Parts: sequence; C-alpha cells; structure tokens
Amino acid sequence: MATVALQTVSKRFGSSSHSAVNSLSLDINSGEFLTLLGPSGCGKTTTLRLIAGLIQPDIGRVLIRDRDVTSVPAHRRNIGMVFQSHALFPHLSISENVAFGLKMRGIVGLERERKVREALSLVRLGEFGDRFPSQLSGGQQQRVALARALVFQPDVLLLDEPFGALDRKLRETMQDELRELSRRLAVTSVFVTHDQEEALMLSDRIAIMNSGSIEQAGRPDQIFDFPQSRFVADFMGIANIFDGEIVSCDRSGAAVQIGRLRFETAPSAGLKAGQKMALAFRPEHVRITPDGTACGGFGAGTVISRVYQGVTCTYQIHLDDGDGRILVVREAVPSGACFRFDVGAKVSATCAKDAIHVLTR
Amino acid sequence: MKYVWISFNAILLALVLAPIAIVILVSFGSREVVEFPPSAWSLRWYAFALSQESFVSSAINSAIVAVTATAIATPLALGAAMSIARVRFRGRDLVQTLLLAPLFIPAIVTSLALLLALSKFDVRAVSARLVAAHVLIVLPYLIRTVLASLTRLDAVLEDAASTLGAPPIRVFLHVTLPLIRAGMIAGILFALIISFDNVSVSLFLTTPRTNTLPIAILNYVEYNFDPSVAAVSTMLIVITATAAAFIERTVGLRAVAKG
Repeated sequence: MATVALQTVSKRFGSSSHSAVNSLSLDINSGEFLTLLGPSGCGKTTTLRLIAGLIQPDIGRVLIRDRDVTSVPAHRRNIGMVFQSHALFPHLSISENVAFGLKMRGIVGLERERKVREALSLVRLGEFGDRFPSQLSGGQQQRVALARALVFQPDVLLLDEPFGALDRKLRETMQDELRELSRRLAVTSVFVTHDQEEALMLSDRIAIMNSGSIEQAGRPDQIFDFPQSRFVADFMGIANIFDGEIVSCDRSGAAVQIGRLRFETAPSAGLKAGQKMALAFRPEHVRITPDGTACGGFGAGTVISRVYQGVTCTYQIHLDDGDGRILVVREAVPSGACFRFDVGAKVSATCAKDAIHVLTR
Repeated sequence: MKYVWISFNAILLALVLAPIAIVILVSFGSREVVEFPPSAWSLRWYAFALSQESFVSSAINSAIVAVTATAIATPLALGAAMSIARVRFRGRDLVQTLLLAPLFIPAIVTSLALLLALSKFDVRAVSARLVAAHVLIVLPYLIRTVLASLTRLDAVLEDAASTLGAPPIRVFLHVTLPLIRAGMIAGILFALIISFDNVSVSLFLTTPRTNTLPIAILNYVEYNFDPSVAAVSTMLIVITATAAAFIERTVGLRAVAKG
C-alpha cells in the first residue's frame, strides 16, 4: 500500500521560466525508506516540501494514506519533518521541543510526559530534557529534532539533508543510528540528500532526480549497477562516459565504435546497428598495465596526472587513439607503495565486457 | 597611533557629554539665576519644578500620549513587519521604504502636513490630534526594530512548527512572538522615548492648556531663566537613560539604532 502518492505534480516558483518540480509521479510504500537523490536545484527539497504541505503544487495531487491532501496545510497532515538546520526552538527546553507536536494535538499531562520521555530515550538523550538546544552538540540537536518529529507517530517522516551540516565522522554515526531506528520503527520515510554514498547506505529505494523529474528509481544496487541514463551514470560516480555508435549487433553482444576505438559489450536488449549511444566505464573497473602487455580495449595511453587518496589512487590517462579523450582510472594503492605509475608513464587500459554500461539516453 | 585614536574618542566623548554634565550641574544650583558652575548647591529647583502645575500636568500629558500612541502603533507595526518579512508581494520593497520614510523626512514637514490634514478633517480634540501624530512618528521606529528581529529569526523555525501541527496563529504565538520579544520590547521603549521627547510635531498641535513636557519647557524658558528647567531636564535624562540601559541590557542599543 502506498503511504504517500504524488500524481503528476508540478510546481513553479514566481515568474521562473522552468518548473522546480515537473509532472512528477511517485509512490512511497508503507514502511519504506525512500531517498530523493540529486544535485542541488534538482527539485528534491521542493518535492519534500510538497509532501509536507509547506507549499502547494500548481497542478497534480498529493495523497497520504489514500486521502487527497493536495490543499490541506502542513499542520493538518500528521507528518514529521527534520530540517538540515535542525530547527529546534531556541526558547524552549529539549523536553518542551519534543512535546511541541503533542501539545498541538491536545495531548496533556502524564501521557505527554511519558511520550516525551520515551522519544528522548529512543535517541539516547533521556538525561537532556531540561537543557536548551544551544547547550547541545550538533549531533545531539539533530537527534532531538528526530525525536520531536517521531514522538506523535507521524504517517510519514520527512528528512531534508539532516546530516548535511555535520562533520564526516559524526555524519556516519548518525547515519547508522537513523538506519537502525527506521528499521526498528518501520516508519515510512522520505530522505533528501545529494550524497550518493549516504543514499546507498540508508535506502530501501532511491529516486534520482534531475531538473524537477525522476530520472530513475530503484533499489540502491540497481541504481548503482544499472544506470539507465547518462545523468544517473555520471551522478553515481561513473566518470568515463564516451559517445559512440553501434556498428554491429547480435546475440553475443554489440560492437561499438568510439572514435578510433572499438568495444565489445555484453548482450543488451533494444540495441540496433547504427544507433547513437554512449558507453560508461566506472573508474574502479578499468585496469591499467604497463604498455604493450594488453591489446584491445582503450589501447595505449599516457598518464597525465595522479592523485593519491589514501586507500585509492586516481590516474588521468590521455588515450593515444581517443581523439583527445581522457580516461579516469581508480585503483587500490598497493601496500607499501603510493603509486604504480608516474606522470608521463605509458600504459595500456582495458575494461571487462560485463563492466561496460550501455547508455541509450 | 593607537593613542591618537584613544585621545580622539576621549575628546569626542567629552564634547557629547559636556552639555548633559552642564545641565545636571546647573540643576543643583541654589541661586535665582542660571550659573555655571553653581556658586552654592541645593535641591530647591527640583522642589520648585515639581510644584509647578505646568510642568507636572504636561509631563502627565506627555506620558499619556506616549503610552497611548505606542500602544496603538505596536500592533500596526507588528502587522506591517510580518507582512514585509513573511509575505512575498509585488512592490514589497517600495512599501517598506515608504513605511520607513518618515525617518528621513524633516520632522517639520511631517508636522505641517499633519496640522493641515487634522484641521481639514476637523479633528479638534487636542489629545486625539497629539496621539494620531505621535502614532505616525513612532511607527517607523517600531517597524524597523520589529522587522530587524523578524529578519534575524530563521523562517525554518516557523515551518518546523507548522509541520508539528501548529496552525498559523499558534505558530505566531508559540514561536514567532517569543523569539522577537526582546526586539519588540526595545522597539516599544524606543517609541516611548521618541514620543516623550518630541518637540517639532507637538509644537504645531498643542495649545497653552493642553501641553506636552518639551513644549512646557520651551514656553517656560521664553519668560523665565532659572535652574528649574535644568532640574526638569535632569529628571528627563535620568528616565531616558534608565530606559536606554534597559534596552542595552535586553538586545543592545546598536541593534535598535541599526534596525
């Protein structure tokens, strides 16, 4: 059953010529953790605010638990929302912050106290009720915001880049906690982020957004392993996307011409000879060897830069037969050494057939 | 170089404070004429000032006008500031500029315009005239302080409140109002002082029988020259300074002045 349904929703701001959200349809299933992933300005936060009721769509419908809430304002939607800036009320204590939603629902006395206590212990802040937001660390503040959004058992939990303002280590801890919490409570959640790793880690399903629409939606592994468009491939970290044309195509696969290079791909439905398309190669999947030891693939090239990243090392390779194309390769750093190749070294590069992504749009 | 700036500030401060110091010293003189520094000291001019019907009644008038005008202007300013800060509409910047315009227009121009308008509409009651005029004078100061507080308040807090189930009126009462409280108190005190000290507008609208304190002082000085005026002024300075100290304690004077 869909808890939240967006039906061909569009939203345009002011006199802007393009829509922030453009005819978007999406079902969010009960208990599902769905992430809206995309670069800034892709409309993901607008979509979240449309679900929250903080803004109304120009056209389309918003349904929550099969009720049409398109014109219902935020305060009558029973949603919990966590903001990037945590948005705790600075003039209220932690307990009062968490109690706010209960107070608005007319829940009083001992029941309110009990629920506040439970919510705070849920985020391991049971002892902090009497403090004020300014006395808490960034991570603690965000946990209070989470407790505040969950305490009245919302139909759906909305999270707008909640960990964007935290440093890396704290962010990882918070991600673990959120994943654990959302599994345990099985609350339907919509999470907005521009961080693909975060999305892969937390989500049951990811919807990649681009200029107001959903480019591709699916399980994290589907999105990662089978990007369907250039945009998704690029956003999921596939740095090498080369335009080409299919020269021949049969049951065993297709042959693709990219400049003076030719690649064999694994069989894929819907391809035909003469079709313009692109091939994408994940930098981790390209193997490089000293020149002359490999043939086929990308052929020979010259290392033009290298960046040491600790666990990995990234090379940029100028391909001899690539008509100016630059290949990005990332490989594990061998123990006891920083680099396998120096700038200026001649290398050969190949990519396994089944690691080549065929992109037709 | 540092000492040059320190001396510069010291001299400037002396120049700013000198008139106040002189008035305060003069007010404690005991002779019939104004002399600086006084040759003998007493509190007789304070006693005399407080026994003068014109000073006392005009001070009460001033207080009533200031409180009434501020009480009327505060909700108006709150409404104006809320709409400018939170509602997007065409010409919003223009509205804001125009609402603050009286700050930049010479007070004498405003006064003359008010006199003409109030006569035209046949508003005869002096108290009504005064209150109407003072509402107009204090309004921009109030709008500016409330607007400043609202701009500093992160609108996401109001969003958060509505997602938690608060209808607009409760968002305002439970979140917006408590968070701009300090700015509002400062604005209200500022408005009271501005109204209480106003000369130019009151000059046009008062009568010998219904006066405000600044006008009473002017009238008195026209015919008399004794330290009683200095005593009244000193009392005014103490009241104003107390209010200013309170503003400084709550939000900071600079925040108010900057708007």
